[in-house]
Amino acid sequence: MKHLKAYARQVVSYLPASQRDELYAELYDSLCEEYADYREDAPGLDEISFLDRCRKHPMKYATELAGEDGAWLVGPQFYYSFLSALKIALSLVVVFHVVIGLVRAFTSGEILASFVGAMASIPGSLLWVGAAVLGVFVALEKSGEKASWLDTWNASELELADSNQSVSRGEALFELALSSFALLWVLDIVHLPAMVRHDGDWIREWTVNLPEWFWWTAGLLLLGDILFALFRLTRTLWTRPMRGVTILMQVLWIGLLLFAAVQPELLAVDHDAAAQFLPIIEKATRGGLLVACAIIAWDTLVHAWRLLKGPDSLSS
Amino acid sequence: MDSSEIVDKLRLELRRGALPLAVLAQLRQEHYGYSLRKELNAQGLDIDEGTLYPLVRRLEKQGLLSSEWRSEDKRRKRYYRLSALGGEVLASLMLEWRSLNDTIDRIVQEKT
Repeated sequence: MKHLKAYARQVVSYLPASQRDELYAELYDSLCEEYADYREDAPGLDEISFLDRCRKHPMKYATELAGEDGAWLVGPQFYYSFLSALKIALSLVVVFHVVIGLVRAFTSGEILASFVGAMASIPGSLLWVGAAVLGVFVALEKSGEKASWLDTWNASELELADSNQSVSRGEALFELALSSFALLWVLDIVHLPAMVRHDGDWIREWTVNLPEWFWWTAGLLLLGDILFALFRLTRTLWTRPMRGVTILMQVLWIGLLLFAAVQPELLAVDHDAAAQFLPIIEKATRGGLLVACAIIAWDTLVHAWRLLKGPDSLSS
Repeated sequence: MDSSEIVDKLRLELRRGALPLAVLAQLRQEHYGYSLRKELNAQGLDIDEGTLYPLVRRLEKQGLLSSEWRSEDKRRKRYYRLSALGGEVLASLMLEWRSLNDTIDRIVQEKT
């Protein structure tokens, strides 16, 4: 029943979060019963053909299910299309500003000020773009358009869902924060706090001995991680291409971190007294890198397993 | 707009007013969403989910229906039944319906 589940899930995804669980259960049950009835007359009928024959585009169907409860800003037939367009447009605005901010940071002398300046202009841009999208949909509505783009729909386009396929916003936000901080560190904009204290002095003169190409690769991967985390924030479900991208990036990270971990002289310190601690700190750093590799490798295997196994069923 | 379109539109308006009465009356017996729709369809009242579910939700919100979740065949089903308040409202609506029906019948017959 994976297509029926996917359809029910897609429909309720447009409705208010407080109603989703109950509506999903009712809708899924209703689809299963109706499908069973259809199969009595046509035993060979598959779920996709059934949905194509008996159901409208999930967005249209969600509009009907919302009934008279909806407070429509535009629409109602346009409302969910409007919300989808708005989400995509606003996400693109954020991504655009992050890219512009990073480009300015790289090309200007004042790295932090340029980046912060680009970020500060995000709210204004969001308002303008939001207003523009609203204007387009109001104009469409006034023109008499009936959301005809929802008429051409095929159930085979449904995004199949399983309980492991929900994109975790917490995880995406954590990765966004971690990658942003790491990128700022690689760019030498922020510094790690001194963690070794000797004779009342914090020892800060550590140097990481890694080649130039390593830092370039790490910077590009971190930029990719930031953009991908932003993209994931706009999605509700994992797709196969998303898992593929994650696996590829994580394999690159494992290679990069392992390369760093096996360097004979990973760290150097320009402090006489600290030289005696160097082997311990270096060992701890290598250990930390290997632990990070193990965590990333485990996550990569989980993604690979889910990619190979394909979508499971969603527990109802 | 041709006559068939106008008839369709007016027929929808006629049905819209009568549907709550039909749903309330049908729910004197317990039903879940699909069985309710099937039962109504079997009696000649073709109604799709997009119309039925919002209506049932609204009637429940108004306290005219009560509902209970049960698990069957590894699926959750929500069973609806007429509440005590729903019973009172249904009785009043049925009186109103019969009176309206008689009146309309009289008017229609006088004119034809």
